[in-house]
Amino acid sequence: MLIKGLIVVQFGLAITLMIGTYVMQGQINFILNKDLGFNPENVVAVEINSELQNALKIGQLYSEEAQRIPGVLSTSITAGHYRDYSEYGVVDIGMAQMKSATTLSQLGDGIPSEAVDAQYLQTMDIELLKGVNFSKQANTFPSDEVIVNQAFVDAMGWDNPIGQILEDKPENQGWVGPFDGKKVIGVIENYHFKSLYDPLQPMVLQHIEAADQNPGTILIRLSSDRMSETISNLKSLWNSIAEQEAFNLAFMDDMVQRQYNEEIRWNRIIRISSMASILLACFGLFGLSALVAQRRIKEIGIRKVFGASIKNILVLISKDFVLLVVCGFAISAPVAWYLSNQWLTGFSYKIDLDALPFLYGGLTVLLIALTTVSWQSVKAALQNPVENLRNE
Amino acid sequence: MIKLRNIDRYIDKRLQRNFILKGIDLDIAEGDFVSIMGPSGAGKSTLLNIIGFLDDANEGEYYFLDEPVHGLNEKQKSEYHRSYIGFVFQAYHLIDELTVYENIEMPLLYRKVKGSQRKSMVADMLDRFNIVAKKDLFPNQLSGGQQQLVGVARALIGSPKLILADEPTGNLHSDQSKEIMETFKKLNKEDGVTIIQVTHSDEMATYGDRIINLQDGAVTENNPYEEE
Ligand SMILES: Nc1ncnc2c1ncn2[C@@H]1O[C@H](COP(=O)(O)OP(=O)(O)OP(=O)(O)O)[C@@H](O)[C@H]1O
Ligand SMILES: [Mg+2]
Repeated sequence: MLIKGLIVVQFGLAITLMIGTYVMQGQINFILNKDLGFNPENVVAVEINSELQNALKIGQLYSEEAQRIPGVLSTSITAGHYRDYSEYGVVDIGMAQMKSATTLSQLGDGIPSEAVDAQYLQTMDIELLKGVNFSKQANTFPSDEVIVNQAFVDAMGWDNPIGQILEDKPENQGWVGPFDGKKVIGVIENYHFKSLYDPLQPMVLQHIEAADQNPGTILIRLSSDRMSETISNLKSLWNSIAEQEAFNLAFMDDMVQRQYNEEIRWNRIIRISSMASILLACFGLFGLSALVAQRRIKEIGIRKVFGASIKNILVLISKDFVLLVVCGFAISAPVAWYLSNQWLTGFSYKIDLDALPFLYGGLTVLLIALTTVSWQSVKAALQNPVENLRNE
Repeated sequence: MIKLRNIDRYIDKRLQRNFILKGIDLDIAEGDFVSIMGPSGAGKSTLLNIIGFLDDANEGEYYFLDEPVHGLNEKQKSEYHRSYIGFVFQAYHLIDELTVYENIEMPLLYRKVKGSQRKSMVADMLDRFNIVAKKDLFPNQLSGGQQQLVGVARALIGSPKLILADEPTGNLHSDQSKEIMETFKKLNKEDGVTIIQVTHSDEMATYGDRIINLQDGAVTENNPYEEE
């Protein structure tokens, strides 16, 4: 009885961890496959030191020259830093940290803004929903144009966003917000410039020259073939233009994924622990089933003499153990449900918790348990009944 | 019904071959009531087990209802155990964890018998052996004679054509033994069930029509009474 209780608890734990593994796996797959509103695949970020003299000129030169390299589809200069702050476990893909104070009351204290050039949308593969992109002729644009995302439009409650002039001027406070007088020329699809822990926010794109900001990154979209050759060409080009500066290149999809490193690591830990706990539970089960098969050896012999097939015997022995696993499932399912929900609340974008991980978790463990038990029960069922019914 | 030809059963021990049965020829017809006798270790149980497909001969041929037994697979043997052969043991071999009712019902679980039909079949058996009042008791709450009645009821529930009984009365008092033997005799005469029993008792042996004497794994005397 005590042994059975212990095995139920062990299986409860194993099933809980197994369900957790499936839930995490599901959420991680969901996150990694979610349409982010931009396409990080085949995009690399080349870092450019903003403190450099003529950083913008150097960036523009590099950007222009890079476009001539075969395999480079598009390049764009941005003020944001697309880099991996790995020691903090934080990845900043763009403007997540760049907030501008604003007095637009609908938008709260500050909104993220990014300074980009006219190739940004193309390079990032971001859809323009309304209006126009920044002009390609770098010097002919009026400096008061901005592009906003759909969330911005929604927050402002605009029906016709194009042509709206922002009034970023508080009453009686004596300062003017950075977006005052800017005109909305385009609206883009919302895209996830932050991790999926955070909900989508309103944001603003300005032209990097108009914003008078230094470049931080050159984004480059590559063709998928001969990528390593293209990258080595990009490196040589960098060395010829900014020879004292280190060439730092990172893949955008890596950076996106690295935002969830913690989760991926935890998923691995949970998966390994669930394996370990299944193994442990199975050791107990193996011992118990050996004991039970031994104790019921005479009964098995009798039943075989009266026509029980091997299959009948397997069912007979396994039935009780299936019950143990079912009991384990009964206690673990609510716990797993609670813990999974708790974990998922951390994400702004998450899977719906349905029955599947529970089904998979339970069945996986049941299958492993049955395999363990069948080792003993097959052995018992195959024995010659005469041997076991010999005079005691 | 049963035809054994030159049956050998042996155990190989290192360089030595120990014969348990050697050169057994035996015919048993449907409706026979046979008693196998012989000293301890003569191979009686082994012979009975071979006849009941619980053990295999090493050499020779065995035909059951004209069917070669060596050609049967595990599944077909199970099929025969379900529908043709009932066993009764000296040590009863009831399942301790099951009630009298459940013990008698057990063989039916391995045949396709409906629940309601099972119920009436078990009820008939309980009735026939006067153990209705004991149906919810466990084997260890019964006397040896009562346990063996349950054992016989269990063997009969599948209406077998052949009953194999290995010293069915070996552990019983003479009154109880007689009761079992009368039951066998009635079964044999009225229902035409073939019965093969192993016994050490001359008295029990005479309930049968025919005695086979076994000594050192060989038949020494076949039908001594008929030849007289
Ligand atoms: N599996 C086996 N391995 C070794 N020896 C065996 C085996 N089965 C039977 N024997 C031996 O074969 C001989 C015959 O055994 P069996 O049980 O058939 O005798 P028996 O006539 O039924 O005796 P008893 O009257 O005591 O029941 C015995 O000496 C026994 O020890
Ligand atoms: Mg014997």
